[in-house]
Amino acid sequence: MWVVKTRGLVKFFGDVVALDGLDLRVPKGVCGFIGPNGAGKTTTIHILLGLLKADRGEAYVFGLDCWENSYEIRRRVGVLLENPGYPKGFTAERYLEFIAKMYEVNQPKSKVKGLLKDVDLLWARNRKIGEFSAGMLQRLGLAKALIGEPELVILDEPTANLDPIGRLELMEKIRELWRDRGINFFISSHILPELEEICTWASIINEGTIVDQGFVTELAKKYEPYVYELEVEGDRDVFIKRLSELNFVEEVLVEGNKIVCKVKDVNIFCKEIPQIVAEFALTLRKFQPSYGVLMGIYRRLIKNEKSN
Amino acid sequence: MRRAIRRFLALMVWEFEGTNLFLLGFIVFVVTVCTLYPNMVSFSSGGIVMGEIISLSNFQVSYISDRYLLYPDRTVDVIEALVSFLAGILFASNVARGFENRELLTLLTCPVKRTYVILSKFFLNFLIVYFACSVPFVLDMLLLGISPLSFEMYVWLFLLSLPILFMCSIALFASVMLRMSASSAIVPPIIYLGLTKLLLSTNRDIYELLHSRWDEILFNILRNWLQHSSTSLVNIELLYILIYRLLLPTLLVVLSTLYFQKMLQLD
Repeated sequence: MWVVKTRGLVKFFGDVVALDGLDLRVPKGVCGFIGPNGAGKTTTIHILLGLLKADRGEAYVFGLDCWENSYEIRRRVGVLLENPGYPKGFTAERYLEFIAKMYEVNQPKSKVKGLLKDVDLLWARNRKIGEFSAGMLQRLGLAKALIGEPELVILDEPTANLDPIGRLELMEKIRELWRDRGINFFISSHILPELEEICTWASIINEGTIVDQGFVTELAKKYEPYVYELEVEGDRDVFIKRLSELNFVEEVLVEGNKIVCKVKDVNIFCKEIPQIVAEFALTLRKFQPSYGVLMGIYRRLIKNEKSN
Repeated sequence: MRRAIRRFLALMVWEFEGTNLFLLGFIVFVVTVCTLYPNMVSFSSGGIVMGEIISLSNFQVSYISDRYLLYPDRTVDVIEALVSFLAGILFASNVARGFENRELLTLLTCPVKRTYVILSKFFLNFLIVYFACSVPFVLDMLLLGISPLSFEMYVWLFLLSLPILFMCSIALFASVMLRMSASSAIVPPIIYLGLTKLLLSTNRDIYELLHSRWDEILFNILRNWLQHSSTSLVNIELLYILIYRLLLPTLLVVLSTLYFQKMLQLD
């Protein structure tokens, strides 16, 4: 069931504990790997790719041991590292052709052209990599990650250096690749709203251990059960005024069409709201717990960790 | 097997394409200088030599008595020191620099075997250094009137490869262990000079054998072997030569490869 699974992973760098008994689970789908700087995200990714060996514990990708079977794993995985190094004297096209050869891709030339077009680098295919901007390098890395038609793509800070349009396009591309071709993604990023849009699963890491992990909807229920979103048709102002007077509602916020309620008692809230809507003869269009919450969960977990 | 060879060759071509043009220019410069002044400076297998020419079994080889150009105490074989420096720079630029700028790290996220990566780098650099030394050597031989079809030419070319193998193996070992380009470029000549100095201070006879007479001995052995001579040639001198010129470099390459494949962690 798990695409990635680690058990009690420990890694030291000298006296520094980078991973401290990491138990990571990643199912199929688009999964986020969230944590503050220095939490151990990149170290974990390097262990999964067989670049680093864990001091203790086990790490598996597709059920294969990450150190012993790293070659087999790398055949099935595409990777974009956080600070990748590219040969500056090569053109983007030649570089990707070489990488395609390593992945034994059929018709590498046409594959490379297609990918360069996808990442909007076709115009720069004959330019030397040394002349690329940071954003272009990031796009090149994405093309490299996708060239071997991988089953899993590991992206370490994929939207770093991308402009807003580039970020949106990347998110859309990830969604499309998962939906249409079933490619799994494991994405380490700091930009939580972006992750929230595409991730079905999140693993939250802090100081080398997994603080919590699970499907985003379940995590939201677990950590942010008291925020509800409502949309009504009719006299909204009266309804909002009535909501703010209720003693089981802590705060009412209006975000465009949405009315966001921070609730003290969920049971009473869920029981009372339909009655109030009926009382004012409104139409209830939306009534659901708020899942715009990765940041909320992250804050809560990391804050708890720090206070402990 | 064929697939493995294809992948290995693809890696070597890739490495060659990425080789620093400045270094290639330097090598061409060395080749040109050595070719333009064949009577001033000529190569024997692994030794820069000056002086008269002697006849050895119908084959002219450069006289070895005055081979030390720069060092008054005559303890250092100059060309081997130069080659060790050239090998050091090449391996520092190709291997150690790859660690520094994360090119190796990025490459190793692709399905490529670590053994292939390190051996392709080793063989390519070895071939570059060998090319740089063998071209003037061959030209020198031709100027001396040696036929390019004579087997002696090829035996000497083979012998020329041994000291280069030695230097390259030291450079590879240094680059893999140190992973810093500056120190990886400096350490091979230091190791080489240290080794020769140690050998000289320990046992002068063995030093002379391993640094001055080894090529003549091996040449005679190979010639006799190729001519199907029945003379027994295995002796303690040969054993020393084989250990120093063949076994030690092979061991260093194997150790570097095993370390890179099994133990090296990249972050």
